[in-house]
Amino acid sequence: MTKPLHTGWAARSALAAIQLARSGFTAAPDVLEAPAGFFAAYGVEASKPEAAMEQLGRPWVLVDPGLALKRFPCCYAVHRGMDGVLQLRHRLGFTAANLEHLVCRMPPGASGC
Amino acid sequence: MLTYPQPKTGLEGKFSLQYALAAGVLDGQYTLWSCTDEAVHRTQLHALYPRLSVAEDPRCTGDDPLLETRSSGSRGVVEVEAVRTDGQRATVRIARAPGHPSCELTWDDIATKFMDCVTHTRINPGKAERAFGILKRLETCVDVREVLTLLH
Repeated sequence: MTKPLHTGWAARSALAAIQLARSGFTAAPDVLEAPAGFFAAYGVEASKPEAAMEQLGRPWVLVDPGLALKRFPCCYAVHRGMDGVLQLRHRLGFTAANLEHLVCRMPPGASGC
Repeated sequence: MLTYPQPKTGLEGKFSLQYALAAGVLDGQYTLWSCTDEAVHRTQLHALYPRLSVAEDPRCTGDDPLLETRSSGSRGVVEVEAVRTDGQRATVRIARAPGHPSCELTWDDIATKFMDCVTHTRINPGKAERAFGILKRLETCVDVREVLTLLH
């Protein structure tokens, strides 16, 4: 149940933030890029807050590249491997009975969720 | 690899690359049922796990300078290679998951997913199909209650 809950909570928080801002509620204006801000908390070594701020909303990622829809009901990190299995199964016509070996190679750092 | 190399429940199965690969080999498709306890507990899977291997490989890094900032599901390239017992082999390299904006799902894909979800509810399949027809042209739907009534 957690997945739909945290998505819903994120949407609820966004709406609450917009309504608060429209009502004149104030907060730190540099909450995203400040040294102890959002990007510092959630970014990685290679993150560039200034580049993110420059591109923010130009365009919104909801518009370009747009939404991704999950084809499979599981963690997105697994999807390309699953697609690979289906493609190979179609191409080679293997089953569990005549499969000798299958290997899935992931990019460094891509095997965690 | 990923959180659960040997998942014990359907929920753990959603976060297991090994299980996902094994279920695909066994079933040739993925449905909501694939992520149930019943599916994960199948004994046939145990014979498959030793024939599957998962590894991080620097060759899958690709040429993205922002690799480190990408999520697990979107960074670099994933390569899958299969070998049959008769020696035939093939490899695929996949940069984007199906459903990414650059390789959108077809309406047939979405309908299959929608109707699969319906089988796990008490919604009448005929009504669900009508609801899906309306959802496909939601922009021109005059009264959204039409859909809600069908799905209740």
